[in-house]
Amino acid sequence: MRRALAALALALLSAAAWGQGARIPADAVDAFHQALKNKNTAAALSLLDRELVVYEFGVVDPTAEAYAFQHLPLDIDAAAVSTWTIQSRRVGGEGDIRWVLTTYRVTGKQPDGTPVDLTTLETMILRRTAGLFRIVHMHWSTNDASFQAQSQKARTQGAAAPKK
Amino acid sequence: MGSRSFQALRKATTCLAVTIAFASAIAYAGHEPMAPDPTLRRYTGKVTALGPPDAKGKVYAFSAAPVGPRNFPLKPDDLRGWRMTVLSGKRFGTEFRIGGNTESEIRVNAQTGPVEGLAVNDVFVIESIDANGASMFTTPAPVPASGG
Repeated sequence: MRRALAALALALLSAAAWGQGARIPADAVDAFHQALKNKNTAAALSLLDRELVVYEFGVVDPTAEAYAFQHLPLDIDAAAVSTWTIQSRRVGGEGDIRWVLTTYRVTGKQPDGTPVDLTTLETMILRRTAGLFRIVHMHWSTNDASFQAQSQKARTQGAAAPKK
Repeated sequence: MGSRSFQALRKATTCLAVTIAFASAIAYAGHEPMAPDPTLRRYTGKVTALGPPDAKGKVYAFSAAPVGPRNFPLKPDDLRGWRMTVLSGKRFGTEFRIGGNTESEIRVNAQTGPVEGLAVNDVFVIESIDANGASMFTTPAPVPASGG
């Protein structure tokens, strides 16, 4: 009985930690970007489906854990010093699977002070579980070839995610 | 040394310094190669053992080993007050506040709850971010002795 109660408490704790999501797909996408901007790692993770796969500037994160460990910190760093303004958005899908396609004008500064002003393309696929949408796939790319190459190089310099 | 060769040496030194600074920044850059917050420090690691339960049977401490490029040798209470987020396992996405640490053990603040459900090999990140979401430092993080 005691063990069952402890298991229930843990399940509730885990659900609370991962319970955010959003009722509207586009809200989940915007909340994810806001969490990055606020350097809120837990909030960002709460908007990700546990079966997340990320394609980012030519690099793959095959699991939510790999993304969380390798590239989420970098995305938080980037979001904190850049401004993403929505240029266009299309939403679609039905039932528990939806997609949100967004183009952003991204402005900021490179480490040497050079201004950045480019378009980033974003594909988000969201899945609804327990009434809340979470991101199950993200794909980012940019219209700036040299910037894309730089980003890809930076992303492949990180260490591999630890294996269990 | 003639003035022309002195100028050439000066130009070469400046060029080298700029190149090193730019390369360092790029190596740390993320999905956008933009200047990150230089005051934000991170420690990534994995759980190697869970600490003993307290009198009420709750566990608040665990042993840890550094993993990945974002860490540094721990000194006592280096991480005190920092924010920890679990990045894998049953407690994925759960946030704790660090109460203190030794060179190898990390203790969470009792107010953020016990680490029930945390398991050996679970991965976490600990960031120098206070309860208001602001960096706890005003100066840039020191360059780690090792890592990539």
